[in-house]
Amino acid sequence: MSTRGGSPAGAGIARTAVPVDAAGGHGIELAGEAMVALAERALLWPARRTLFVADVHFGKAARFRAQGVPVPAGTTAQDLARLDRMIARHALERIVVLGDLWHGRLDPDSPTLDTLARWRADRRALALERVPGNHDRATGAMAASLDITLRPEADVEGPFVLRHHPEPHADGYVLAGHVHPVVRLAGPGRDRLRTPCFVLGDRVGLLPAFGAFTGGFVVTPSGRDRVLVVAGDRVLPLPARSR
Amino acid sequence: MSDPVRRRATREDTRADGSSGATARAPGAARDRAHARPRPACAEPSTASPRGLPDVVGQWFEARGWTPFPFQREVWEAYAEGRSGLLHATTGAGKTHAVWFAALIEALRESGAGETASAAAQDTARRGRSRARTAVIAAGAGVGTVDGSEGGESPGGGAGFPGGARSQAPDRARATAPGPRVLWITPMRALATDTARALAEPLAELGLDWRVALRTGDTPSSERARQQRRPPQALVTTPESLSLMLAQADARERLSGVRLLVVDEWHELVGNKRGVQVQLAHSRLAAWNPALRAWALSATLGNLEQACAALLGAREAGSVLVRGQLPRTLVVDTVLPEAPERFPWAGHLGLRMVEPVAREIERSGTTLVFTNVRSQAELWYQALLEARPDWAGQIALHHGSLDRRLRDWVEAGLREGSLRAVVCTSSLDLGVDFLPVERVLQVGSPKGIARLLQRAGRSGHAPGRISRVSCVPTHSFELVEAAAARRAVEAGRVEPRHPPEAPVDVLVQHLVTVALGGGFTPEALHAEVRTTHAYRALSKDTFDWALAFVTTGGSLAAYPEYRRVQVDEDGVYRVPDRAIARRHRMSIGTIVGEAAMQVRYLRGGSLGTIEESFVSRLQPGQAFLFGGRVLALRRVRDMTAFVERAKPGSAVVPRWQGGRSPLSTELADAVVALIAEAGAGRTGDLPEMACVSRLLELQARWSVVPSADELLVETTRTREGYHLFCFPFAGRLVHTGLASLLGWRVARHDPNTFSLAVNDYGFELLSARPVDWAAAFAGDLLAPHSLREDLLASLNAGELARRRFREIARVAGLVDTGLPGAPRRARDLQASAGLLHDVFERHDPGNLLLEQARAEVLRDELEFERLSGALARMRVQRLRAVATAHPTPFAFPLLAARIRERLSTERAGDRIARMVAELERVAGDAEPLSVHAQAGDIVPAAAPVRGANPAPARTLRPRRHGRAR
Repeated sequence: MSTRGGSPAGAGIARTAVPVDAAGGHGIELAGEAMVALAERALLWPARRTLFVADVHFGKAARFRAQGVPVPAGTTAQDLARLDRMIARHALERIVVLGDLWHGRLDPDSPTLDTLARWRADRRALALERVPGNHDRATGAMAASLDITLRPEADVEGPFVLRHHPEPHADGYVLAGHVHPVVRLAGPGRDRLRTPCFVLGDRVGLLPAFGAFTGGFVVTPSGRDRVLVVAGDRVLPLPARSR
Repeated sequence: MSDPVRRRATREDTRADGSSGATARAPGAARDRAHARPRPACAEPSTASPRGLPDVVGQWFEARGWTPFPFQREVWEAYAEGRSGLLHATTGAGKTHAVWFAALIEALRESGAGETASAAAQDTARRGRSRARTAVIAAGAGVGTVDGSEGGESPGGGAGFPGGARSQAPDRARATAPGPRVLWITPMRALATDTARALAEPLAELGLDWRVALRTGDTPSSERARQQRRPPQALVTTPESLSLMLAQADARERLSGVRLLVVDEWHELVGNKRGVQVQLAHSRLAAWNPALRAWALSATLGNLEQACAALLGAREAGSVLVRGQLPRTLVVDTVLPEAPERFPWAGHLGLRMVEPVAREIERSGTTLVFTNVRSQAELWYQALLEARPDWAGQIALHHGSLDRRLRDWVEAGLREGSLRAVVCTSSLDLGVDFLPVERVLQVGSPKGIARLLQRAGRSGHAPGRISRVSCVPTHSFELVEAAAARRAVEAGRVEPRHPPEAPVDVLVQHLVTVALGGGFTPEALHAEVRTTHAYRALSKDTFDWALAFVTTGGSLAAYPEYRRVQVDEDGVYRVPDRAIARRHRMSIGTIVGEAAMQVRYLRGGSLGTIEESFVSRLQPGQAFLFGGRVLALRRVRDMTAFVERAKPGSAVVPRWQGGRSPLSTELADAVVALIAEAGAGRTGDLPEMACVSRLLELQARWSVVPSADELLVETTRTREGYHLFCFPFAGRLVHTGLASLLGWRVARHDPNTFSLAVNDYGFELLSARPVDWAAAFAGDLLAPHSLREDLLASLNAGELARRRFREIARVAGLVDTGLPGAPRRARDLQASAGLLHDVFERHDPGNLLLEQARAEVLRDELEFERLSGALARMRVQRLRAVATAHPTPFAFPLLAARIRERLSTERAGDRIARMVAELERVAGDAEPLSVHAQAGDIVPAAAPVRGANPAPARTLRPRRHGRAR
């Protein structure tokens, strides 16, 4: 039984190794395309100089502060610095956000919005696009002010279907976010570690949350999923047998 | 000894007290309910009316055939003189009446009532008493107010009090004070009802128109509103509910009439942040009413004076320490195993002792079987039922995770004497006495003397009985601990509990509480907070930091969006935002457990709560043991685990947190002394030591039985690698720190990777390559310099602090409590404490809450002071280094211990890379995963899938048991 998107060539993960990117990434083949999972918690599509990120949650810290939780400033700047690093290193022309670019609507005079506007003004050549996420409601005006192209949910591009919720789609291999996946690596005794991961299944590829101030949700991948864990400044595959 | 010794110990003469009780009696075990004994035995001249006491008080005691004890009069006099203090006694009405009557006598004197009470009044009072009892039953059913007189709202309430016994005083008191005169703090909500009942009991007979009310988290809002309209004279509450009252805008108006603050079971609070919360509340109340008197009621502690000072802070001067104890005969003995093992192993929970324990229960009256952890209680309950199926319905289970109604049922059964035995945990350590309890069994090590005494004191309350606690060793070394515990009890050595020093999270919470409770100005509040013991040395810098944290967001920057506490135009700090105010009030409290989930049947009916982390490791359909039942998990939703009954069979036993407390210094020292004596052949008369003689003989043959001034170090080679076993006898926490430290220090010179194992006696370092330990010990391995730095570096302390931050973040109001019934924050305001920790660490590294997390790790998780002490002792001990051919009886428990810690000095990225490399190696070979896990290696922990991926067919749970060879 084969569906269109799940054609033998595109389905599953090719086990042939793609050269590992020098800059802490891990090369993989997804739906026939050579991709690189980056330690910055983003997925690079080198052929199109395009970067996919999911769950950025801009404005989350500000929302916490407004509700009486003094989250220190700096998380937005940290996110932007990571984007800048990748833009420079991979000569990016375009960044596509797979939903939840925002944590919620911000006040027009919000310092966060101001920071973003100044950042955007210096990078006019960069194309910014997003598909809608559940946190992105009522953020159209903010997106417009930052020259962000709004794409529809489950938009098809090449072999991929770009959407927020990680549900399989008939038209191609889904790239999605929403879950904020992490795996728990347990050693003996107190040696325990939660780390963000990519979970690449037969029909859906799940990206880790990009935002610096986002939590994680522990997932247990199935035996057929390929899992890439973000370890400091590297991305490492987690062997299937060990799950 | 027929004459009970009673005495008051003032502040001057208490120090000499500890050494006086080296007999078979426990100096620490006070005679609860002292006055419950028949008068002749108490030997107080019954004709002597206590000096200045209102007649009705004397008559009240007389009517029961009692006479006030000297310690009770001590308290009454001290209170009348305006003094505060600490009364040391175990649970029971003797202690309660000592403090409660102090306030009642004061009220009677002020009203002028009671002095002329007639027989008629007494007769009336007796009728009043029966009515009071009715009211109490209503309170137990949740009404919450206990009336000493008629039903509180009834306009005819005074009808039963003719002849002036219903005095004018209450009306006057009500006119002058809009709130309660007495606040009675109890550490557990569950105790509040019983306490209120006990307080209400004498009121009617004394002719006092007082009401006693409850104010806890369980109190319905209608009852709270009633208390606002018509304040009771005495309010029984918890530290959290008191803080909540302080967060009401009219707190001062309502609480400035408090004259007496009683803190019951202070020993339970003094050592933790809830105690600090009480200290802060005390400072508030004392600022409003300088004549406030505060009395702590405490059980046996090694540092009673410090405990007293901790409550009173700057108001300590003139306070008194009263010992209300009477020696009660206490028996500490041991249920001996039939065949003591030579290679003890702590993992099997000692179920082979079930049959002997069942026989002991058969022989005794009502028995409490204490275990150290809830999972052990579950197992023992099941095992006893299997051993004696006809006991179904006669034995019960009681622990803190069970639903309140189940626990109430068990407690009622204990009170009535209808239960043969109850398997329980520390959940029954506190509370009113269950008279029928005749015998206490302690399964496993008691870990400390105070705990053993507390538990022993639960038995033998009926007149003429003795308290008897029998230790049930679950492995051979616990035989030694049982004998050591008896020794320590005889010598009167009891552990201290040290009050916390200046926790910033509690201060942050208090600032918001006070801002809500009428507002504050910084100078005045700083001065007030400094009157507490915890913050006596609080610097202006730290205070200002906390102030900035709740006003501008931190010392570094002011965040424009941030608002929590704001300054109004008069310079008063308040909380203007109603949502923030509401959330603060809902989350007040410092008790932090792991996030707990409700356990409910699918068809309805609550069973209790269980740790989220345990549920998260279960797959739907999997069976587990809970509340004495085998249950199968069906689904998880909204912090509730829905379950069904499952067929008995192999079920997972919940592994609850807690219960991993280390052996106390006092008990460990006693163990060291006993082992040394046994090595010298001087313990022949102790049955427990006779029982372990074969073990010790083998130890002596293969290695050495160390004396107190020797440090035993064994090295062995097995298939696993090169083992070092070291025995400092300093408790498991200290050994964790020591093992990490030594491994780290050795690896600095000679890179190596160690696996660690610890228990209460020693630790193991296992390495793949040999280590020249003799040279290392001769070098600077035990050196005191840079100890703190090396320790933190060796332990991956960052991760420990990150976990510790969970509690701190909750107390400081950064995240939700996660307790059942507590409101969840709006979805877009959820963040884990770990995430907040990481953000603070990166963007606000000077945050004092981070520093506190590190300090708490050192203090509480590593017992830094004790560790330094142990290291100092090891430096002067004679080193006995023995290379053994096999793991010895001392070493075997360590081999068998489940904990394997891997030392890591590299940064996280490298660590994961190595983990993954190791996983690759295993993934590539044919060994089954379980074998791989036994070797102590790394596997991803199982977790239920929620989200994108379907559940895996099955999940392997690694069980880690080290194997000897």
